[in-house]
Order: sequence, then structure tokens, then C-alpha cells
Amino acid sequence: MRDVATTRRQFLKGTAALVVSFSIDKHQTAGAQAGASPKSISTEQVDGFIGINTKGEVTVFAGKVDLGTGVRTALAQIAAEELDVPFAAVTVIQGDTALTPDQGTTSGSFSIQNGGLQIRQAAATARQALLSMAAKKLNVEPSDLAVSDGTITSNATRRSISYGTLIGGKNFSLKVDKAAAVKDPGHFKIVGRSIPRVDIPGKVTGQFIYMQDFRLPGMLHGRVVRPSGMGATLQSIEEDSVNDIPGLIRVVHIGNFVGVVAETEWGAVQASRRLKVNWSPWEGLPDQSALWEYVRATKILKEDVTSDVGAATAALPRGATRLRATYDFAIQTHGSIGPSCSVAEFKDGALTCWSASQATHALRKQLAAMLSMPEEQVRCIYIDGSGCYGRNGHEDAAGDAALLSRAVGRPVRVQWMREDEHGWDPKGPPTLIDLDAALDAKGNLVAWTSAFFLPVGAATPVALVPATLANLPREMDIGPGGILNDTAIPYTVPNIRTVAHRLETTPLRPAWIRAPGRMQNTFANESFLDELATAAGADPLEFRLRHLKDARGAEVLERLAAVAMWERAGAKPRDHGARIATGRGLAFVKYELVRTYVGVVADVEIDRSTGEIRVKRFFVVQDCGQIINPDGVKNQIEGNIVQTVSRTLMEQVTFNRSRVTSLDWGSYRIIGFPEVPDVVIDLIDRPREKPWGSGEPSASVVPAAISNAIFAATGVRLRSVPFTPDKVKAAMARS
Amino acid sequence: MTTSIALNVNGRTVRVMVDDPNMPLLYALRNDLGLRGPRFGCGLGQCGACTVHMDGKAVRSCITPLSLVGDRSIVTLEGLGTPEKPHPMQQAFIDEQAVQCGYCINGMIMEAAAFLAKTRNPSDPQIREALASNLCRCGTHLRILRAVKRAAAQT
Amino acid sequence: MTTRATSRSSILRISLSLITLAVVVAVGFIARRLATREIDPSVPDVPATAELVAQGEYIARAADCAACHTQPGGKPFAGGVAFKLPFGTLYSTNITADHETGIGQWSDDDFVRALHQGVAKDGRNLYPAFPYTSYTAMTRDDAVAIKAYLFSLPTAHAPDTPDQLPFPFNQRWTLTFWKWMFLDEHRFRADPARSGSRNRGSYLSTALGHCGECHTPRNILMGMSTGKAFAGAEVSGWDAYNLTSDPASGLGEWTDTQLQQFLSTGHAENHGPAAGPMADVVENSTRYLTPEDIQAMVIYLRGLPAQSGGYKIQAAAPPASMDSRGRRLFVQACTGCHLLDGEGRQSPWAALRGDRSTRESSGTNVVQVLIQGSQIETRQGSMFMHSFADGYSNEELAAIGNFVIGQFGLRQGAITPEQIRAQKASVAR
Ligand code: FES
Ligand code: FES
Repeated sequence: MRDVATTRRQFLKGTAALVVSFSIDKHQTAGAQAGASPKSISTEQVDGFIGINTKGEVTVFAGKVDLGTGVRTALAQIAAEELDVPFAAVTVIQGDTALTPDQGTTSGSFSIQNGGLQIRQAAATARQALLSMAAKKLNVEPSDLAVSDGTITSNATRRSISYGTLIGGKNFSLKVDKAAAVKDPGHFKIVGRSIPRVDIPGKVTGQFIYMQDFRLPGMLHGRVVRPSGMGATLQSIEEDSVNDIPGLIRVVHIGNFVGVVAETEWGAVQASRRLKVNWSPWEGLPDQSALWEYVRATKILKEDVTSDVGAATAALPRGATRLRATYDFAIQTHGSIGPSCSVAEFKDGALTCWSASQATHALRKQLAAMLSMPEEQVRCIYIDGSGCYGRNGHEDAAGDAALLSRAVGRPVRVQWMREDEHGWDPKGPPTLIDLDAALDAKGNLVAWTSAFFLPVGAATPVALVPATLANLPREMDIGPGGILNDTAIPYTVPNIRTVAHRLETTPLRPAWIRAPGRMQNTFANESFLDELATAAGADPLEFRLRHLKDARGAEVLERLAAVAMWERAGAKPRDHGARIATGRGLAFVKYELVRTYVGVVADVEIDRSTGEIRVKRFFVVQDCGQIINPDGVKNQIEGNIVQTVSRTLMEQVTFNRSRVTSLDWGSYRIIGFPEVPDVVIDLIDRPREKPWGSGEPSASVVPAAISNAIFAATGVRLRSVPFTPDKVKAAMARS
Repeated sequence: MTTSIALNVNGRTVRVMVDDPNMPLLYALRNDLGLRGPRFGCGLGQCGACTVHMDGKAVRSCITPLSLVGDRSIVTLEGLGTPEKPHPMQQAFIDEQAVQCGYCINGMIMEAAAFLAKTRNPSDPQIREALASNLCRCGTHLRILRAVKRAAAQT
Repeated sequence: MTTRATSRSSILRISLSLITLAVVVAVGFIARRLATREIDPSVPDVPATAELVAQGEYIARAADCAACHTQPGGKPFAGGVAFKLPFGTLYSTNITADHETGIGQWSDDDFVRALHQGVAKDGRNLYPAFPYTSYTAMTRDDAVAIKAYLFSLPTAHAPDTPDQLPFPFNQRWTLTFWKWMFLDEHRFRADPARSGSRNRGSYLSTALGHCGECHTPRNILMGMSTGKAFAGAEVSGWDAYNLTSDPASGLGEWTDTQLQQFLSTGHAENHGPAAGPMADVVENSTRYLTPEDIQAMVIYLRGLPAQSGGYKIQAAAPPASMDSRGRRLFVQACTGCHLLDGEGRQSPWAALRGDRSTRESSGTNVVQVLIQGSQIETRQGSMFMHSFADGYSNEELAAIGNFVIGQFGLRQGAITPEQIRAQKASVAR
């Protein structure tokens, strides 16, 4: 992979001035205005995705960005494989609205599944075109040609010609051929290998440039001064309270958006802390101690029925055994270790914005709308930030920087502080689930109904905080993510009806956090299924196999039983005497019922005297079709398990009637090294199958596996995430 | 009015002009000296992303006032090693691919390097305890533990 | 007369005589006190020269006026600081030179009378939360210097916040009787048998620094029990430790340098940082004192006869069971600043080895810091610890507290979750 700076420059041909900031040497560089003849960014055009220079070096233009998942390396593997060029000859430019096509938001583990396949098809079309060009040049039949390391050779005449000479520096001007033949997986040399990630050496030595490191000459530093309540209005500002701050440029206020801009970052931080601002009292948030009553009482706008077979409601009372339960899952935050950051430069009526947003094309539209500017005058450039696991504050920080840069007429960098990130980034919405099911006399599932109380909306762009505060044009509806997914269950039940009550609102601005909806819904489904297995006196694994008519799913469960040495006896006897109880639990998911299968077993310990839970080990079996980079997939699974054990055991946003109160790592606790479980991973590779995503699926099964393990150990059902020691002790006392 | 403060960073004496001598060392390292190793994560001493070595001790530069540093030697991630000649701990993190987003990795490497310098072949619980106040959100912990054990085996 | 009747009448007779005896003694005591009162002669106001203002600034710091009259982040000396007392809440007054809401119209005499007799310009009694029981010993020069300094500052228009005191505590005239018993109106008298600097130390610690107002136990009428001066007391939920030379619970085993370091910087080698109200005293007052004055206070405190002050300090011995849950929580939540070896990670203010509050099994101050956090402004900027009350349960905080007592105080911690809940509740009130 060559350095990105030079490649970005080549494709900004005719750029007037290329600004290289003083702190960036060879690495990413600052783009300036789009070049004279703008490069195609159409997903229909080969030039949208692929560029080859005279030296035969390939640049891949990806709309999908690397959020720390290794996607940059995986996409380079796909392109190198399909074009038959060395892996090292490929560079990936990501998320630059002037250079890369819009492949949709990088989320939901679709980077490879969709983004990768579009690039593969474009590369296949390019390869096909290059072969026919070479055939003409060498006047031989295309079938007589062979490609290796970017050089095409005629078997007959032994003469050869390189990609560089054929197309170097020129456009393909070619539509992507949906029918162009892709390489037979049997001949893969690069895809399927655990190629070391290209970004890691730079990241462990401090050379890598994160969004938080990006600087422009003459750049100022900005901070936003937050209202005392989410909906509070600005009453007055005592600007003289920051007169003594050296290097202060200006206090900016537009409606309820209040910001400070200074020459130095520390000056901006001090100004933001000392500026005296008076806000109206505002207490629009519900009382957290009555959150679930509030959720249940929220107005329902519509019903989404996600499965409806047979006559479930009627079949329920006819069952031999009937079970009801309610599950809930707390409000959580992304908790990026590096708070959101962005640099914006508003100059001559055009805006350039550098952001770690996972959707720079969508951000471009939002910024243009907020500033009432034509989209063509806005350019967003992606630079890797800290892991965001969904829609965190990146886009909002971009909006902050844009407003401040326009106000002062100079580039402004906004770095969110910890309290901004915890307090103001969008939150995973609270989820409440009622379940009601019945077993027949032989212990088989006959009827299953479930009702999910979910906010209305899907994975649509989330309104920018600065646009809301400044009352500028923005989205009016909420975007909690694809939270309907996995409300239905992968099991076959004669009578089943799963419904989502779509609520008009939810306490804090919602957005998607890793496996949004899939995690909360699978927690309820897979825990309640375990309750039914116990009621049927059946082994949880066997009970699932009995109701699962899906070969690939069954194979995952069988393989899990082997890997985890799962004894298929019924519930093993529990000794209630021991202070430390141990148990294991199981959970399974077919992600969104259409792709990646994951089965897990969790081994846990519970300290009965303190209610503390220690997750000792997780066994994971995953089938995500064709694997591009096995180690990359394992890295993602380990991350999913550890991060979700943290969310399951300890995480919840706390708030009073005015604002979020869990504003630092002391009040929003996450997992530390002593609590991290071991993770044993067994990947099922299917090279001939489509590559499904692996960034999220294994996260969705963690909460249920832990809850089921706790039941196995103590006989206590935990139905409310997080499983804090207080809740565990209370549940044990009740049982 | 600005004060000029001399610092010994990565083996070189440098001067920074600052308005507030009590500004956290982190801001001087990043903004005045253009270093990218130490990162801003919380500014509260809670996450470890900003860790540097001060006379060999792992300290959190976000809550270390410049005025407390004096002539003590500061070493940042850049001073530990380069992509061409990485420190054994950095090489171990590359070998174990112990990175996802990588934003916490500065703290992990600097804390672990300081810990290994004073603790010979530590046990797994000892490593976990030494890194217990360094936060990672991506869940890279298992690889980080493997990397530290790998580095411990070599030193 | 049945036995019950006789016994009742004899009880009556004895109690009557006892009451009369008490009245006689009290009247005698009050008469003698009123007779020996040192009344200030009326003296015309003196001009506020630059050097008087400078002296006044120094004395105002030594007397720590800002601690009560300046709200955190508020305008200097504009008042409004709340004092939550068992029987209600008092608010400090605006002592800037503002004519309408401050003391702009006060003469030197008015100001001196307030300090020496606890009486405002309009003659109303002032509540003893304003420590005139100590300031009465202040020299007139120092008092006038403070006024000159206050009058040199920008005025602040800030009307006083009305006190919230139930009957009878809102009846200021009753304080006259209180003063008879507890206000010994005498200026500081140097003891010829002691050295000059010991007398200076005594003046700084009693008349200006009024250390006794926190560190001397109070009787049920809230008067300072002079017999147990500086022996330690509980103040708004914090333990104000024993300052006498008792080796176990007092300053007996501190060195002079450690005491000087503690008073001038807010932390001391092997004795931990100042926290809570003591951090405010160092921040607003003692860190500004000259080395000579600090040394004088050390000599004075060193000379205080040892008293145990009711503290039962265990001998230092690593406790039998170290709270493993406490250790696990401590290494995750606390080693970012406090290392396990008791040394501060970033700064000496975070060094807990030997910290005084960790030697108390009850851990009152350890708990206060855990639930309130602590902050101190120093020459190296602000050193802060945030509160852990939100993210941690009472069981977890008790475990952390007991671990800290064992690890750094080498004592057996006895903090209970119930104690945490109670101390949280009293802080919230
Ligand atoms: S940034 Fe310094 S500890 Fe988090
Ligand atoms: S690797 Fe992303 S926070 Fe640790």
C-alpha cells in the first residue's frame, strides 16, 4: 500500500494550491478545492472505484471507511486479487466526497458484503477491459493472455504489456459490467489470507494521522459551551468572563449554540470552562427511576408486524405450559475512547470539512442543508478517528466546526471533551420487550408472541446537535437505526406473531450502536427461549436444534457443542451452598434472519455474597460465508465479545430531568483488563459463498448467553441489562 | 504574557512558549511539538490514552502540569521506536495485530513498557492489574495481553 | 406522708438548691467576664495607604476571609456562601465596600467591633459561624488593615441571602447570652515566657487562622471547649484531626518539615494531601503565608500538650484480610492517579502512603473524599479528584475505602455500606 498523500494529489489534477499542513509530512495531505476536471464518483463507472497510474499502482476509491475494523486492508485484498496485482501496489482512499463514490453509511457489517462486492465487480470489469486492450495491442486473442502482478503476457508470442502502459494515468470511461466474470475462489492468492493490517505499524509508533491529529496552517481551536439542560434556551452570556483568556478570538452564539474560538487549544478549553452563560431551566427528561413506565406509556405511532404465522394469540391458551416475561435493555453510549473531532474550513463560499464520520456523503448533505449552501460547495474528507461503533458525535463535531469556521472566517478545529461525548453523542435507545409463549404436552413450542417497544425510525441521518441548538435546517425525524431486525426469530413455530410498537419518541436523541436492535431483541428472544427450554425440561442446545430448520444454522450449533464441550444433559444440579456459583449458557443468532450465523457458550461465575458476575470464557462459532481476512474476522469477534460483556454487565447512561449525568469514565463504567473473558473462536469458512459481514453479529448473542449462564448457575433469571451487582442480589433475594 | 519552558522530550531539549505554565503537558506535546503519540481521551486521568514516560515512570500527560515536569526526561511513543526500528513492545503489538481502532494503544504500550522495565516475566493476573486503569473500547484486550506477554518473554 | 411523697419532696429540695447554686456560679462568672471586657476606644478612620492595603491583603489571607465570603467562582467577598448547620442554614454576608449591599458605610470602629464583639453596624448580634470568638483576639491594626484591603477591591452589588433559621435560632438577641458564656473579649496577649515566633505562631493559629474553630471540640451549646483545645472535632461531616502533639492521633510523629510542607503546599511526604475543607484552608490561606509565619505556627502547634482527643488509633499492622474486591476496584478506578505503592502517579498531591485519613478505621474522611471528591488550587494549577458517588454502589465504595485504609494506612478498615449511605445523605442535605 503506498502512501495516500501522493495518490490523493494525483487525482486532484489541476488543483490550484495543494496545502500541506506543517505537521503532516508524507502521510495524508489536505485536499483543496476539487480539481478542474472532477474525477467520476459514480458507482456505475469503473473510474468511480479504480485508478491506475503509469507505474501500474492501483488506487481504490472506497465509500466504505475503516473504523478500526481492518476494512482498508480487506478492500485492498479484494481489489488486488481481482486485478491480479501485488497487494503492496494497492492504496485505498476512503470517504472523500470529491473522490469516492457514495456506497452508503459504513455500518451494519456491510462494508465487505456490499462495498467489497461493488469494488470486486469494478475490478473484474477493469481486468476484462485491460485484457481486451492488450489483445488489440499484441494482436492476439484475449484467451491467449495471462496476467500476473499487473503485467499481461501472451502465451503464444511471449510478449507482454503492463497495466501502467495500457491505462496509466488515464480514465477507463467504462460502465461497471455486472456480468464481468469474477475470479474463482479456488484460485484466490490474496483473499482469504490473514494479511497484516497496513495501518498497525503507524498506529503503534505514533506515525499514523488520526482525525484528532489533523492540522491546517492558520487553524484556530473551538469548543462548544453546552446548555445546562438538553432543551434549555440561552438567556444571557457574560462575555467579559473570558476577557482574560490569552488568544481568545471570539464568543460565537447562534440561537442556543454557544461556542468559543481561540488561537490555542488550551485557551479554547479554558474559555469554554470560564464563560458564564445563563440558561433557562429545562426539565424535559423523564425520571430515570420510572423509565420503563415512561417507555410503556409513550404514544405508539404504528405497529410493525415482523412475523405472523398461524393464529398465535388464539393458540396461546391452548398450550400445556404457558410462559410470560418482560425484558429490558438500558440506554447506552458509544463511549469512543477518543472523543469526536473535526476540522472545517469555510472559504470563498465553499466548505471543506475533515471528519471521521462513517457517512461522509450523508454528512455533506446535512452540512449543506444546515448552512443553506448548494451541495457542490461542500466537500467532506474522511480521516480515521477513534472507534465509533455506530453514529457517535463525529457528525455533530463537524457541524460545530463548520458553524465556528463560518463565524470567524478561518479554519477551526473542534475537539469534543469527554463530557461532550458522554453527554451529547446520540444514545442507544431503551428497549422494552414483552414475550408470551406456550409449549404443547411434549414440550414443543406451539405459540410464540412478542411485543417490542421501539422508537419509530430507521438508519436515517441523525439531526446534527449544532443545527438543533442553532435552530437551522435539519432532519425532524429520529434515526435509531435498523432496530426492527431480529425481532422475528430464526426458529420454526406453528403459531408466531412478533410485533413492534413504534413509539413516537425516546428520552435522549437515539442512533445506532453496534448491532442496534439486533442485540436488544436477541437478548430477549434467546433468553426467553432458554426459559421455555427449561420449562420443557429440555437441553437448551437440543431445544434450539429441534426448532431450527436451517442446515447452516444447525451446523453452527453442532460445531459449538463440540468446541465448547457442551453436555446435553438437562439442567445440572446446582449446589446452593457455595459462595461462588458457576454455570454456562448458550445463545444463537441468524443475523437479521438473512446472513451471518453465530453460536456462543458463556462460562460465568457469580459471587452470591456480592452479586458480582465474572465472565470467564466465551466459545464462539461463526459462519459468515467467504472470509476475506481470517485474523481480521477473529479480531472483530474478540472485540464484539469483550465490548458486549462490558455493555451487559455494567453500562448504562444516567440522567436527571435536565441532562445526562454519566459524563466521565467514573460514572459510565466500562470493562477493564481484570474482567475480560478468554474467547475461543471457531470460524466456518465457505469460500464459495457470499462474504457476509462480521463487524457486529457476534455481539448480539452475548447478553442472552450470560443471562442463561447465570440461570444455570443460580436458578435466577436476569431480564434487565445491565446485570449490575445490586440487580443480581435483588433477583437472588426475590427467587 | 507567554512563558518559555524548556523540556527534555525524546532525548532532545526543546522550548515551548505557553500562556499558562500550568497547561497540561499533553497540549504542549501535541500542539507545540506536533507529536501524535500521546492522545487526548478524557483529560481526567481516567483512560490512559495520553500516557508518556517521565523519568521512566508512566504518567498521564493530560493531568501533568507543565510546571511540574522540570528537567525530567519525557519519552513519548515516537521516542520509544519507529516503524523501521520499533521497540520490542511495539514489535509485539504488530506481531499480535493487537490493534483495532488503535486510539488506546499509546497508553497500552507506554504503560506496559514501563511495567516490564520493573517487573520480570509477570503473570497474566499481574499484567491485567498493571493495565487495569487503561481503557480500550474496541475490546482489543486479549490481543494486548498476548502482545505484552510476547514482549515480556523477549526481555 | 408516704415514702414516695417524702422522696419526691427531698428530690425537689435537692434540685432546687442545685439550681440556685448553678445560677450563683453563672452570675459570678458572667459578672467577672463583663467586668474584664477589653472595650475598644473609638478612633477615627485611618487613611488606606498602599502598604496598609498590602498588609490587609496578607492578614485577610491569614484569617481566610475568602473561605466564607467568596463563593467558588463568585465575585470576591460578595458573600452568599451557605452554612448548613444542624438547626438550619446561614448565608455569609457581602463584605465588599458596596454602599447598599456591602459594608461601604462602615467605619473602622464598626468593622473592629464586628470582629471583636460579633456585632454588626446596626447593632444586631452576628452568628458565631462568623468566628469572632477567635477574631476578638485580633489586633486593631490587623482588623483595620483588612478593612482597608476590602475597601480597595471592586465593589459587588450582591444583596445578602436571607438565613433559613427556625425559631428560636432566628432570635439574634439570644446570642447575647451565648456571648456571655463563650466570647472572651480580649486581644491577644503574648506570653513573655515563650519565644517571639512561638507567640506569633499562637497569634496566627488562634486569632487569625482560627484553627480551633474546626479542630477544637464544641460543647452542646456549640461553644469551643477550651479544655480540649485542638484535640480534634467533627465539622460538617469531616474529621478535623487532633493537632496536639499526641504521637498516635496528633502531630507527634510529624516532622517540622512535613508540617511546613503541608501548610504551604497542601501535601506532605508520607502524610498525604489536604482534602475537603482543609484543602480550601491551604488554597485560600496558609499557602500565602511567609515561611517565617509557617514556621511560627509549626512551633506553636508542636508545643500543644498531647491529648488523645478521643481517637482510638490502632497500631499500624497490615490488616489480616485485604479487601480483594476493594483492590480490584482500586486498580481499575484509582491507579490512574494513585499508584498501588502509595506514590502519586502524576503529582505528590496524589500520594496516599501514610495519609492521615487512612489511619482511621472509621474512614470518615476517606468516605467524604470518595463521595464528594476534592480539589485544591496550587502553584502548579488545580489538583482535583472527582466524586465516585454516582458510578459506584455503597458496597463498592466501602470496599475501596477499606482497601485504601489497609494498603496506605496499614490499619483494618471498618467502613460499612450503611455508613456510606448515611454520609451521602448528610452531604445531600
Ligand atoms: S486523556 Fe489522560 S487519562 Fe484520559
Ligand atoms: S483499539 Fe480502539 S479503543 Fe482500544
